[in-house]
Amino acid sequence: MPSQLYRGEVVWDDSNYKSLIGDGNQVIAGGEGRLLSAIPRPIDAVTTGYAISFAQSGIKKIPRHEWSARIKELEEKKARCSDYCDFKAYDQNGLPYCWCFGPTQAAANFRRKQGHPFKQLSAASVGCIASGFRSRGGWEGEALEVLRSRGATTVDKWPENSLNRQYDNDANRQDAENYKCTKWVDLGDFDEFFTMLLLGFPCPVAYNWWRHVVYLADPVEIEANSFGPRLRNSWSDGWGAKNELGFGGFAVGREGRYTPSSGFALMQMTAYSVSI
Amino acid sequence: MKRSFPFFWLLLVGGGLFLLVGKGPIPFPITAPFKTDKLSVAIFEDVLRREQLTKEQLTILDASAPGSVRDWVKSQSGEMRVLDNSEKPTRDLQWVQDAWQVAKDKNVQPPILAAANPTRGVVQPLPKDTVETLKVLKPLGK
Repeated sequence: MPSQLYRGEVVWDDSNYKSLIGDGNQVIAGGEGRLLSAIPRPIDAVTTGYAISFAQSGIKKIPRHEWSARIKELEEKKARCSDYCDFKAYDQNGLPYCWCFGPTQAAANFRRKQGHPFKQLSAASVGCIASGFRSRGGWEGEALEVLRSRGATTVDKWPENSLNRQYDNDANRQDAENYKCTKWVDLGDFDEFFTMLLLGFPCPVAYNWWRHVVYLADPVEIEANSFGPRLRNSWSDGWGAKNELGFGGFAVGREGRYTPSSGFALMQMTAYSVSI
Repeated sequence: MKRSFPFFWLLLVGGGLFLLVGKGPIPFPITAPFKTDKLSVAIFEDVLRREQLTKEQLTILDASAPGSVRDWVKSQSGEMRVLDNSEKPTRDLQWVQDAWQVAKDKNVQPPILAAANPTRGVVQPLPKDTVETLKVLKPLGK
């Protein structure tokens, strides 16, 4: 049985994706400026050691004939990443840092799934370090490298979209030690992405045609034996559909158009918490 | 048998006094595997081997629906973590670090269930499904 989509959730595919590029229908407040922040993954990035590949990880792909039943199980048991999104979708608000917002928002989501209290992690704190405080595009591996080596600072210490160098101080570097991504896997084809989603790992991904980075939260069966990921965007909580907890940013993309150009699965965040 | 007889009576009298002195029963000795002030549940897994878990075990880890392990822990005002086993959670709360250390010292192989309340607890392999896990956990509840 196909998935129950969230109320008003759009399925993006070859028939309608151009409206996301041309912005002719004013889908995106702020227009094209928000769309130009991702650059394709460099061709030699595979050799730079950002992460182990899916093949090296030893993880086996989950066969397609199991997908439908596994998705049903995840939905019934509320075991998807989106079931742990009890916070508003991030908002780039014109900053061309989608390549940081995707991974950082995925990290915040994954921390909730690990059982930690929610902490809003500042995507700007990652992007500024990766770009040298420049407002420029990038690819998701750059952000992950900062999440690995330095970590993200929380927004109460580094405001969400600030590129001010004053925030790169000792106290904030200490804070970032608590929010590192310590394990992830580099993914290739659609089945690898889908396997990791079925196993419950969020995936920051790039769509080169879209020039945009988002993260994938859930596996979805759109129609019988037609699959695609549920993504969460960083264009404010008002974009896309809301999940069952009332938080927005969600849409579904069909395999093919929404097979990622590149991306990773987050598998472990620094186990940091404070008493609540 | 003769040599153990006085020891038996000493244990009985001592135990009775232990329970009855003061305003009420004295708590049993602390046998919790790690120190905590509330129901605390941690599952330590090898994330690179997650696909080798059964669907039922994956449900233990990730489900949040009514009837799930997380839902029950929440109903007990408890706390739960699902973490990779390969690195010590040095920046998490002390009980999480202690639970991880006990599991390591006991050489329990992942996936591991470590759970305790202020007086009792378990550190053992993760049960096969939610029903079996709740059988282990419920005696630790309120």
